[in-house]
Amino acid sequence: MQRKGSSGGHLLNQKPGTANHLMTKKLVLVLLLPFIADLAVSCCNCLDSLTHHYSNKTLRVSSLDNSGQEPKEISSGSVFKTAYGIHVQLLREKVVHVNKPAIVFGQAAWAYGCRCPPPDEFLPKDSVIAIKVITLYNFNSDHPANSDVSAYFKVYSPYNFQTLDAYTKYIGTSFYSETELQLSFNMLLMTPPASVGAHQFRVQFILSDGRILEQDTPTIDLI
Amino acid sequence: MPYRIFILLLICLQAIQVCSQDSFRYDTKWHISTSFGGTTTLRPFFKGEVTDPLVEFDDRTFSWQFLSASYFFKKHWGVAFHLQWSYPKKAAEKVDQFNQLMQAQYEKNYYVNSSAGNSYSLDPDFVGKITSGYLGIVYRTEWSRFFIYPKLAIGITSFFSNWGQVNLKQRNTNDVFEVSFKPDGKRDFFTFSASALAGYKLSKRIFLHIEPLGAFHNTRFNYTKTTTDLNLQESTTDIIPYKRNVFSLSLTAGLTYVIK
Repeated sequence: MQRKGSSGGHLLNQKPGTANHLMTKKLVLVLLLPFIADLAVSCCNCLDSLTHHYSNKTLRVSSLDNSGQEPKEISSGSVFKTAYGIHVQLLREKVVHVNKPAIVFGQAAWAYGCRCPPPDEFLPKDSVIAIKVITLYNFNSDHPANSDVSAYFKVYSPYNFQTLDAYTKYIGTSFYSETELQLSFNMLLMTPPASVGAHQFRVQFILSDGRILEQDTPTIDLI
Repeated sequence: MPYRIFILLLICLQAIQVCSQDSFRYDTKWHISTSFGGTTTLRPFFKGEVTDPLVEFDDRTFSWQFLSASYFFKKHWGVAFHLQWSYPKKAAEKVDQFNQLMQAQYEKNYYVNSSAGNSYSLDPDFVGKITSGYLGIVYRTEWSRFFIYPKLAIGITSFFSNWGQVNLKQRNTNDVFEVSFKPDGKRDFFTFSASALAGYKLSKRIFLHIEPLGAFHNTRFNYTKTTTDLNLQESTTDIIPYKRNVFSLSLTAGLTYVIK
């Protein structure tokens, strides 16, 4: 039985100009259509990506009264010793930026979708390797003045507590938004001191380049 | 006086005509019907647990028997199937009730922030939160215009139990707790029902009916209340059982259409 319009050979071996050759071209074109459409939607007008390096520059701390529903900053007076906290602000600055290498088509995860890569990436130049809280007054029998009471504090964001060590790992990473250059968080005193009276704490950020950022809280009466 | 006699005569004639007709009797096979009414439990389902508003059930509900079908394979006997939706209080009302209960229970010592799964329901309002489906046998007794179809059926009563959660920030301390209420997921309960559909034949194809229905189902589900100290990550759990024998009574009225 003879097959109409079939030469019986391989498609690519057909002679140009024949009906079969035209058919093959059409078939290839139809099969390519989804890829062409995908390519069309993936050609977005993306901004050039920049990689920034930032440095940890300034530390600001204040005392918190957390006896109410929300913590509030205080600079003097008294606070329940079970409701004391420290508000920390770490200011970071961009120090240098480098252009990211251009994305070669097919090498990036977003090459086939109409999504741009994040325009900026911020990498730490000097990471925070430890956060310490030092008591400047006698805290309890085991912790006299100038001893480390970091273990008594926890970083709190609504409905989540983290130890200072766990939080240090979190802030040492890269981020993608310039607003994150200013980092704010609350550390709550989860183990109150043995006695009531005046208390003051020193907060230290130990950085990977050997620097130590530190600041003292105002003196507050813990009652 | 002659006017009254004339009216009485007309009534008597009508009664004689109704009683003498037997053309509507036992000559139909397929009936479908729909009806509306109310359902009440004979004993209160809820016993004052804090999780009560999370359960999409109520002691008194509006009911819509949106589809009922009967097939008579013999003169007196047939099979019947029906689906009914009942409508407990709206989700927003139940969430408010849950929030108020949480406030009342904890606000003396804590700042309370509560939420419940009811508020995330995507069902449209016309879908009843309590669904009952029955399949059973029906016995037919008919007179010329009146009829009564007693039914015995088994089926499923289904309703949902939602999660609830409350975050508690203790007053004058840094302590924060989370209390969660999670149901164990059982929502379908085997049900027995007995009913009698009775009414008046308006025409050969359209009947007016009422249907008293008694049903019994047995619920066996639990809520687990977990209280977690978010600082220490220590939890305690309590079980709140909902083991109830539920007897309910429905009364609906509607129309029956004779297909064949």
